[in-house]
Amino acid sequence: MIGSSLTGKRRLKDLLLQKDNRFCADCNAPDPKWTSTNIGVLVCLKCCGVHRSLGTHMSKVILPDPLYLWKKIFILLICRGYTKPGPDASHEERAKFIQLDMLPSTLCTVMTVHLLFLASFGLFWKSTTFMTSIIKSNLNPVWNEKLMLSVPQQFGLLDLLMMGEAQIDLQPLITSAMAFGAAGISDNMQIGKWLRSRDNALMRDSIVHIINGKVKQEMSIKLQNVESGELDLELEWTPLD
Amino acid sequence: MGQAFRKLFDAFFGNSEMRVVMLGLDAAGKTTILYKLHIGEILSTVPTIGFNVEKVQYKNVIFTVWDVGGQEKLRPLWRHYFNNTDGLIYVVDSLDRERIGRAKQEFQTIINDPFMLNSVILVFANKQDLRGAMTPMEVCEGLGLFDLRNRKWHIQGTSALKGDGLYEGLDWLASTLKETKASGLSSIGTSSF
Repeated sequence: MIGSSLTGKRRLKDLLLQKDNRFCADCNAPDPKWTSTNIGVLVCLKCCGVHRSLGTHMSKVILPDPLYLWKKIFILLICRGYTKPGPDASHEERAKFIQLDMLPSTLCTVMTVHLLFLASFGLFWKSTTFMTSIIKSNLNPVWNEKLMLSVPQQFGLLDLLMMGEAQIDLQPLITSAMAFGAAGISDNMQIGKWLRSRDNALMRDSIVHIINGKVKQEMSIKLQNVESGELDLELEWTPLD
Repeated sequence: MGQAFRKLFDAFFGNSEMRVVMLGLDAAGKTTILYKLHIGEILSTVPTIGFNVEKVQYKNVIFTVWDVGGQEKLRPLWRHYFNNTDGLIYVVDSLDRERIGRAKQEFQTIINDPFMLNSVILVFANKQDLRGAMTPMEVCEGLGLFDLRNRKWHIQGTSALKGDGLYEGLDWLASTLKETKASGLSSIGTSSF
Protein backbone atom coordinates (compact mmCIF):
# COMPACT_ATOMS: atom_id res chain seq x y z
CA MET A 1 0.00 0.00 0.00
CA ILE A 2 2.98 2.29 0.01
CA GLY A 3 2.97 4.63 -2.94
CA SER A 4 4.95 3.43 -5.89
CA SER A 5 6.13 5.41 -8.85
CA LEU A 6 2.85 5.00 -10.66
CA THR A 7 0.88 8.04 -11.69
CA GLY A 8 -1.73 9.40 -9.30
CA LYS A 9 -4.61 8.25 -11.41
CA ARG A 10 -3.35 4.72 -11.65
CA ARG A 11 -2.43 4.63 -7.99
CA LEU A 12 -5.88 5.78 -6.97
CA LYS A 13 -7.46 3.18 -9.18
CA ASP A 14 -5.30 0.49 -7.63
CA LEU A 15 -6.24 1.65 -4.17
CA LEU A 16 -9.93 1.62 -4.96
CA LEU A 17 -9.61 -1.93 -6.17
CA GLN A 18 -7.99 -3.16 -2.96
CA LYS A 19 -10.07 -5.60 -1.02
CA ASP A 20 -10.19 -3.46 2.11
CA ASN A 21 -11.28 -0.42 0.16
CA ARG A 22 -14.32 -2.05 -1.36
CA PHE A 23 -16.25 -1.46 1.85
CA CYS A 24 -16.82 1.60 3.99
CA ALA A 25 -14.16 1.67 6.68
CA ASP A 26 -16.71 2.61 9.31
CA CYS A 27 -19.89 0.73 8.53
CA ASN A 28 -18.93 -1.88 5.93
CA ALA A 29 -21.35 -0.52 3.34
CA PRO A 30 -20.19 -1.65 -0.08
CA ASP A 31 -18.60 0.61 -2.65
CA PRO A 32 -17.51 3.62 -0.61
CA LYS A 33 -16.81 6.69 -2.70
CA TRP A 34 -15.68 9.29 -0.18
CA THR A 35 -12.11 9.58 0.91
CA SER A 36 -10.74 10.95 4.11
CA THR A 37 -7.42 12.22 2.85
CA ASN A 38 -5.74 12.72 6.20
CA ILE A 39 -6.84 9.44 7.76
CA GLY A 40 -6.56 7.45 4.56
CA VAL A 41 -9.82 5.53 4.53
CA LEU A 42 -12.74 5.26 2.19
CA VAL A 43 -16.17 5.79 3.67
CA CYS A 44 -19.75 5.82 2.44
CA LEU A 45 -21.89 8.92 2.00
CA LYS A 46 -23.58 8.61 5.40
CA CYS A 47 -20.35 8.12 7.32
CA CYS A 48 -18.87 10.95 5.28
CA GLY A 49 -21.53 13.19 6.82
CA VAL A 50 -20.30 12.23 10.28
CA HIS A 51 -16.67 12.75 9.33
CA ARG A 52 -17.47 16.20 8.03
CA SER A 53 -19.40 17.15 11.12
CA LEU A 54 -16.25 16.51 13.18
CA GLY A 55 -14.55 19.29 11.27
CA THR A 56 -11.81 19.38 8.69
CA HIS A 57 -9.17 19.36 11.41
CA MET A 58 -10.19 15.78 12.24
CA SER A 59 -11.02 14.39 8.85
CA LYS A 60 -10.81 15.94 5.43
CA VAL A 61 -13.31 14.14 3.27
CA ILE A 62 -13.39 14.58 -0.45
CA LEU A 63 -14.94 12.87 -3.39
CA PRO A 64 -11.80 11.76 -5.15
CA ASP A 65 -11.38 12.92 -8.67
CA PRO A 66 -9.38 10.42 -10.69
CA LEU A 67 -7.02 13.22 -11.55
CA TYR A 68 -6.56 14.22 -7.96
CA LEU A 69 -3.13 13.21 -6.77
CA TRP A 70 -2.87 11.88 -3.30
CA LYS A 71 -0.06 13.69 -1.67
CA LYS A 72 0.68 10.86 0.64
CA ILE A 73 -0.48 7.33 0.70
CA PHE A 74 -0.46 6.08 4.22
CA ILE A 75 -0.22 2.57 5.40
CA LEU A 76 -3.74 1.92 6.45
CA LEU A 77 -3.90 0.84 10.01
CA ILE A 78 -7.55 0.41 10.46
CA CYS A 79 -7.83 -0.03 14.15
CA ARG A 80 -11.04 -1.60 15.23
CA GLY A 81 -11.52 -3.20 18.59
CA TYR A 82 -15.29 -3.39 18.52
CA THR A 83 -18.07 -4.06 16.06
CA LYS A 84 -18.74 -1.62 13.32
CA PRO A 85 -22.20 -0.25 12.72
CA GLY A 86 -23.91 -1.80 9.70
CA PRO A 87 -24.76 0.03 6.49
CA ASP A 88 -28.29 0.60 7.81
CA ALA A 89 -27.14 2.08 11.10
CA SER A 90 -28.62 5.37 12.22
CA HIS A 91 -26.67 8.59 12.23
CA GLU A 92 -26.23 8.37 16.00
CA GLU A 93 -24.74 4.89 15.92
CA ARG A 94 -22.34 5.91 13.20
CA ALA A 95 -21.39 9.12 14.97
CA LYS A 96 -20.72 7.23 18.19
CA PHE A 97 -18.48 4.76 16.46
CA ILE A 98 -16.60 7.26 14.36
CA GLN A 99 -16.05 9.67 17.22
CA LEU A 100 -14.79 6.89 19.46
CA ASP A 101 -12.54 5.98 16.64
CA MET A 102 -11.00 9.39 16.45
CA LEU A 103 -10.69 10.13 20.14
CA PRO A 104 -7.05 10.80 20.93
CA SER A 105 -6.96 8.16 23.66
CA THR A 106 -8.31 5.40 21.47
CA LEU A 107 -6.18 6.28 18.50
CA CYS A 108 -2.99 5.91 20.49
CA THR A 109 -1.15 3.45 18.33
CA VAL A 110 1.83 2.15 20.15
CA MET A 111 4.02 -0.06 18.09
CA THR A 112 7.16 -1.92 18.81
CA VAL A 113 9.54 -2.27 15.98
CA HIS A 114 12.95 -3.64 16.70
CA LEU A 115 15.40 -2.18 14.35
CA LEU A 116 18.72 -3.82 14.17
CA PHE A 117 21.33 -1.65 12.69
CA LEU A 118 24.33 -2.93 11.00
CA ALA A 119 26.88 -0.25 10.82
CA SER A 120 28.81 -0.73 7.68
CA PHE A 121 31.52 1.80 7.60
CA GLY A 122 32.97 2.91 4.37
CA LEU A 123 30.05 1.60 2.34
CA PHE A 124 28.17 3.94 0.14
CA TRP A 125 24.89 4.88 1.74
CA LYS A 126 21.79 4.61 -0.34
CA SER A 127 18.34 5.63 0.74
CA THR A 128 16.38 2.48 1.42
CA THR A 129 12.85 1.84 2.46
CA PHE A 130 11.80 -0.93 4.79
CA MET A 131 8.30 -1.88 5.61
CA THR A 132 6.82 -3.76 8.49
CA SER A 133 3.79 -5.97 8.07
CA ILE A 134 0.39 -4.37 8.26
CA ILE A 135 -1.61 -5.15 11.34
CA LYS A 136 -5.32 -4.73 11.06
CA SER A 137 -8.14 -4.64 13.55
CA ASN A 138 -5.94 -3.57 16.40
CA LEU A 139 -5.73 -0.27 18.21
CA ASN A 140 -2.44 -1.18 19.83
CA PRO A 141 -0.59 -3.18 17.24
CA VAL A 142 2.68 -4.79 18.23
CA TRP A 143 4.98 -5.46 15.32
CA ASN A 144 7.89 -6.99 17.11
CA GLU A 145 9.80 -7.16 13.88
CA LYS A 146 13.45 -6.67 13.20
CA LEU A 147 14.51 -4.50 10.33
CA MET A 148 18.13 -4.31 9.41
CA LEU A 149 19.66 -1.19 7.96
CA SER A 150 23.22 -0.45 7.06
CA VAL A 151 24.27 2.98 8.14
CA PRO A 152 27.45 4.92 7.45
CA GLN A 153 29.37 6.68 10.17
CA GLN A 154 27.80 10.01 9.40
CA PHE A 155 24.09 9.54 9.18
CA GLY A 156 21.31 12.04 9.32
CA LEU A 157 17.72 11.35 10.03
CA LEU A 158 15.70 8.19 9.67
CA ASP A 159 12.15 8.75 8.47
CA LEU A 160 9.31 6.68 9.80
CA LEU A 161 6.04 6.82 7.97
CA MET A 162 2.80 5.31 9.14
CA MET A 163 -0.50 6.98 9.93
CA GLY A 164 1.62 9.81 11.22
CA GLU A 165 5.26 10.28 10.63
CA ALA A 166 8.34 10.73 12.72
CA GLN A 167 12.00 11.37 12.28
CA ILE A 168 14.70 9.73 14.29
CA ASP A 169 18.18 11.04 14.66
CA LEU A 170 20.54 8.09 14.60
CA GLN A 171 23.63 10.14 15.26
CA PRO A 172 23.57 9.87 19.11
CA LEU A 173 23.52 6.09 18.86
CA ILE A 174 26.24 5.89 16.26
CA THR A 175 28.51 8.38 17.96
CA SER A 176 28.23 6.87 21.41
CA ALA A 177 28.55 3.37 20.04
CA MET A 178 31.68 4.36 18.15
CA ALA A 179 33.19 5.85 21.28
CA PHE A 180 32.38 3.05 23.68
CA GLY A 181 31.24 0.02 21.75
CA ALA A 182 34.67 -0.68 20.35
CA ALA A 183 36.23 -0.62 23.78
CA GLY A 184 34.50 -3.89 24.59
CA ILE A 185 32.90 -2.89 27.84
CA SER A 186 30.77 -5.72 29.10
CA ASP A 187 29.14 -3.98 32.08
CA ASN A 188 25.68 -2.56 31.69
CA MET A 189 25.94 1.20 31.59
CA GLN A 190 24.53 4.32 30.09
CA ILE A 191 26.72 5.73 27.37
CA GLY A 192 24.71 8.40 25.64
CA LYS A 193 21.55 10.33 25.57
CA TRP A 194 19.31 11.94 23.00
CA LEU A 195 17.54 14.72 24.78
CA ARG A 196 13.91 15.48 24.29
CA SER A 197 13.44 18.93 22.85
CA ARG A 198 10.90 21.00 21.07
CA ASP A 199 12.23 20.21 17.63
CA ASN A 200 12.23 16.45 17.96
CA ALA A 201 9.38 14.04 18.43
CA LEU A 202 10.65 12.27 21.55
CA MET A 203 8.20 11.61 24.36
CA ARG A 204 11.04 11.46 26.87
CA ASP A 205 14.83 11.49 26.82
CA SER A 206 16.14 8.52 24.94
CA ILE A 207 19.12 6.79 26.51
CA VAL A 208 21.79 4.74 24.83
CA HIS A 209 22.77 1.76 26.98
CA ILE A 210 25.22 -1.01 26.83
CA ILE A 211 23.32 -4.12 27.81
CA ASN A 212 25.21 -7.40 27.86
CA GLY A 213 27.82 -5.99 25.55
CA LYS A 214 25.30 -4.70 23.02
CA VAL A 215 24.65 -1.07 22.27
CA LYS A 216 20.95 -0.38 22.52
CA GLN A 217 18.77 2.65 22.48
CA GLU A 218 15.12 2.72 23.43
CA MET A 219 12.87 5.51 22.36
CA SER A 220 9.26 6.54 22.49
CA ILE A 221 8.22 8.82 19.70
CA LYS A 222 5.15 10.90 19.28
CA LEU A 223 3.89 10.64 15.73
CA GLN A 224 3.67 13.91 13.87
CA ASN A 225 0.96 15.20 11.58
CA VAL A 226 -1.66 13.01 13.18
CA GLU A 227 -4.05 13.55 16.06
CA SER A 228 -2.18 11.22 18.38
CA GLY A 229 -0.11 8.11 18.35
CA GLU A 230 3.07 6.83 19.88
CA LEU A 231 5.70 4.49 18.64
CA ASP A 232 8.11 2.53 20.78
CA LEU A 233 11.36 1.59 19.12
CA GLU A 234 14.44 -0.24 20.19
CA LEU A 235 17.58 0.36 18.20
CA GLU A 236 20.55 -1.91 18.41
CA TRP A 237 23.91 -1.18 16.93
CA THR A 238 26.18 -3.91 15.67
CA PRO A 239 29.58 -3.27 14.13
CA LEU A 240 30.24 -5.18 10.94
CA ASP A 241 33.51 -6.75 11.89
CA MET B 1 -50.52 54.17 -10.77
CA GLY B 2 -52.13 52.09 -8.05
CA GLN B 3 -49.70 49.37 -8.89
CA ALA B 4 -46.81 51.71 -8.42
CA PHE B 5 -48.04 52.79 -5.00
CA ARG B 6 -48.58 49.22 -4.03
CA LYS B 7 -45.02 48.42 -4.95
CA LEU B 8 -43.78 51.42 -3.03
CA PHE B 9 -45.85 50.44 -0.01
CA ASP B 10 -44.63 46.87 -0.13
CA ALA B 11 -41.09 47.99 -0.42
CA PHE B 12 -41.29 49.80 2.88
CA PHE B 13 -43.90 47.92 4.90
CA GLY B 14 -44.76 44.65 3.22
CA ASN B 15 -42.79 41.49 2.84
CA SER B 16 -40.08 41.73 0.31
CA GLU B 17 -38.37 38.81 -1.28
CA MET B 18 -34.74 38.29 -1.82
CA ARG B 19 -33.04 35.57 -3.78
CA VAL B 20 -29.84 34.50 -2.13
CA VAL B 21 -27.33 31.94 -3.26
CA MET B 22 -25.13 30.34 -0.65
CA LEU B 23 -21.77 29.09 -1.85
CA GLY B 24 -18.49 27.98 -0.37
CA LEU B 25 -16.02 25.12 -0.43
CA ASP B 26 -17.15 21.66 0.58
CA ALA B 27 -17.71 21.01 4.28
CA ALA B 28 -17.87 24.72 5.07
CA GLY B 29 -21.29 24.29 6.69
CA LYS B 30 -23.68 25.65 4.07
CA THR B 31 -26.36 23.01 4.44
CA THR B 32 -26.12 23.11 8.22
CA ILE B 33 -26.61 26.89 8.12
CA LEU B 34 -29.55 26.56 5.75
CA TYR B 35 -31.40 24.15 7.98
CA LYS B 36 -30.48 26.02 11.13
CA LEU B 37 -32.12 29.10 9.58
CA HIS B 38 -35.05 27.20 8.17
CA ILE B 39 -36.11 24.98 11.05
CA GLY B 40 -33.82 26.14 13.81
CA GLU B 41 -32.28 22.72 14.29
CA ILE B 42 -29.01 21.04 13.52
CA LEU B 43 -29.64 18.27 11.07
CA SER B 44 -27.07 15.64 10.33
CA THR B 45 -26.15 16.43 6.79
CA VAL B 46 -24.43 14.53 4.04
CA PRO B 47 -22.48 16.22 1.25
CA THR B 48 -24.84 18.11 -1.00
CA ILE B 49 -25.00 16.82 -4.53
CA GLY B 50 -26.96 19.39 -6.49
CA PHE B 51 -28.65 21.92 -4.25
CA ASN B 52 -31.09 22.56 -1.41
CA VAL B 53 -33.47 25.46 -1.56
CA GLU B 54 -35.53 26.79 1.35
CA LYS B 55 -37.46 29.94 2.11
CA VAL B 56 -36.39 31.67 5.28
CA GLN B 57 -38.44 34.52 6.61
CA TYR B 58 -36.65 36.98 8.81
CA LYS B 59 -38.27 40.18 9.92
CA ASN B 60 -40.24 41.13 6.83
CA VAL B 61 -37.94 39.75 4.26
CA ILE B 62 -38.41 36.34 2.70
CA PHE B 63 -35.05 34.97 1.71
CA THR B 64 -35.05 32.25 -0.87
CA VAL B 65 -31.78 30.59 -0.06
CA TRP B 66 -30.14 28.32 -2.59
CA ASP B 67 -27.54 26.11 -1.00
CA VAL B 68 -25.38 24.64 -3.72
CA GLY B 69 -23.00 21.71 -3.22
CA GLY B 70 -19.41 22.77 -2.79
CA GLN B 71 -17.50 19.69 -3.89
CA GLU B 72 -14.70 20.44 -6.29
CA LYS B 73 -16.52 18.67 -9.09
CA LEU B 74 -19.70 20.65 -8.53
CA ARG B 75 -18.13 24.09 -8.51
CA PRO B 76 -18.32 24.61 -12.29
CA LEU B 77 -22.11 24.38 -11.88
CA TRP B 78 -22.27 27.33 -9.49
CA ARG B 79 -22.59 29.90 -12.24
CA HIS B 80 -25.95 28.49 -13.27
CA TYR B 81 -27.33 29.83 -10.02
CA PHE B 82 -26.02 33.35 -10.46
CA ASN B 83 -28.76 34.80 -12.64
CA ASN B 84 -31.30 36.98 -10.81
CA THR B 85 -29.45 36.75 -7.56
CA ASP B 86 -29.72 39.64 -5.11
CA GLY B 87 -27.23 38.42 -2.63
CA LEU B 88 -24.38 36.01 -2.17
CA ILE B 89 -23.68 34.28 1.10
CA TYR B 90 -20.17 32.91 0.97
CA VAL B 91 -19.44 30.43 3.72
CA VAL B 92 -15.86 29.83 4.80
CA ASP B 93 -14.61 27.11 7.12
CA SER B 94 -12.56 29.28 9.48
CA LEU B 95 -10.63 26.27 10.71
CA ASP B 96 -9.41 25.26 7.28
CA ARG B 97 -6.33 27.42 6.94
CA GLU B 98 -4.94 25.17 4.24
CA ARG B 99 -7.73 25.89 1.82
CA ILE B 100 -8.28 29.59 2.43
CA GLY B 101 -6.32 30.28 -0.75
CA ARG B 102 -8.62 27.99 -2.68
CA ALA B 103 -11.62 29.68 -1.04
CA LYS B 104 -10.32 33.05 -2.19
CA GLN B 105 -9.86 31.82 -5.74
CA GLU B 106 -13.43 30.52 -5.95
CA PHE B 107 -14.75 33.64 -4.25
CA GLN B 108 -13.07 35.97 -6.71
CA THR B 109 -14.40 33.93 -9.63
CA ILE B 110 -17.94 34.23 -8.29
CA ILE B 111 -17.97 37.92 -7.56
CA ASN B 112 -16.37 38.84 -10.86
CA ASP B 113 -19.00 36.94 -12.82
CA PRO B 114 -21.09 39.38 -14.92
CA PHE B 115 -24.31 38.14 -13.31
CA MET B 116 -23.00 38.76 -9.82
CA LEU B 117 -21.69 42.30 -10.27
CA ASN B 118 -24.75 43.85 -8.61
CA SER B 119 -25.24 41.41 -5.79
CA VAL B 120 -24.38 42.21 -2.23
CA ILE B 121 -21.85 39.96 -0.54
CA LEU B 122 -22.20 38.45 2.89
CA VAL B 123 -19.33 36.32 4.11
CA PHE B 124 -19.89 33.88 6.94
CA ALA B 125 -16.66 32.98 8.71
CA ASN B 126 -18.16 29.77 10.02
CA LYS B 127 -17.08 27.35 12.76
CA GLN B 128 -16.07 30.15 15.12
CA ASP B 129 -16.97 27.87 18.03
CA LEU B 130 -13.95 25.66 17.32
CA ARG B 131 -10.62 26.31 18.91
CA GLY B 132 -7.97 27.61 16.52
CA ALA B 133 -10.43 29.08 14.05
CA MET B 134 -9.35 32.07 12.01
CA THR B 135 -10.94 35.32 13.16
CA PRO B 136 -13.34 37.07 10.77
CA MET B 137 -10.54 39.59 10.23
CA GLU B 138 -8.15 36.87 9.07
CA VAL B 139 -10.80 35.39 6.79
CA CYS B 140 -11.35 38.89 5.43
CA GLU B 141 -7.71 39.17 4.52
CA GLY B 142 -7.63 35.62 3.23
CA LEU B 143 -10.42 36.27 0.77
CA GLY B 144 -9.08 39.65 -0.30
CA LEU B 145 -12.23 41.48 0.77
CA PHE B 146 -10.36 44.68 1.50
CA ASP B 147 -9.42 45.02 -2.13
CA LEU B 148 -13.03 45.04 -3.30
CA ARG B 149 -14.13 48.28 -4.86
CA ASN B 150 -17.71 49.45 -5.36
CA ARG B 151 -19.18 46.37 -3.74
CA LYS B 152 -21.34 46.09 -0.70
CA TRP B 153 -19.91 43.45 1.55
CA HIS B 154 -20.03 42.37 5.13
CA ILE B 155 -18.25 39.69 7.08
CA GLN B 156 -19.82 37.90 9.99
CA GLY B 157 -18.27 35.37 12.33
CA THR B 158 -20.76 32.55 12.77
CA SER B 159 -21.24 29.23 14.43
CA ALA B 160 -23.89 27.26 12.61
CA LEU B 161 -24.06 24.75 15.45
CA LYS B 162 -24.81 27.36 18.06
CA GLY B 163 -26.65 29.63 15.67
CA ASP B 164 -24.43 32.58 16.55
CA GLY B 165 -24.14 35.36 14.02
CA LEU B 166 -26.53 33.90 11.44
CA TYR B 167 -29.34 36.35 12.11
CA GLU B 168 -26.94 39.25 12.42
CA GLY B 169 -25.85 38.39 8.91
CA LEU B 170 -29.43 38.24 7.65
CA ASP B 171 -30.07 41.57 9.36
CA TRP B 172 -27.34 43.12 7.32
CA LEU B 173 -28.63 41.48 4.13
CA ALA B 174 -32.16 42.71 4.79
CA SER B 175 -31.18 46.28 5.54
CA THR B 176 -28.78 46.43 2.62
CA LEU B 177 -31.45 45.05 0.34
CA LYS B 178 -33.85 47.75 1.48
CA GLU B 179 -31.30 50.47 0.91
CA THR B 180 -30.59 49.19 -2.57
CA LYS B 181 -34.27 48.95 -3.30
CA ALA B 182 -34.98 52.40 -1.98
CA SER B 183 -32.23 53.94 -4.02
CA GLY B 184 -33.41 51.94 -7.01
CA LEU B 185 -36.94 53.31 -6.55
CA SER B 186 -35.88 56.90 -6.29
CA SER B 187 -33.54 56.87 -9.22
CA ILE B 188 -35.26 54.61 -11.72
CA GLY B 189 -38.82 54.84 -10.53
CA THR B 190 -39.56 51.13 -10.48
CA SER B 191 -38.03 48.43 -8.49
CA SER B 192 -35.62 46.36 -10.40
CA PHE B 193 -36.29 43.37 -8.18
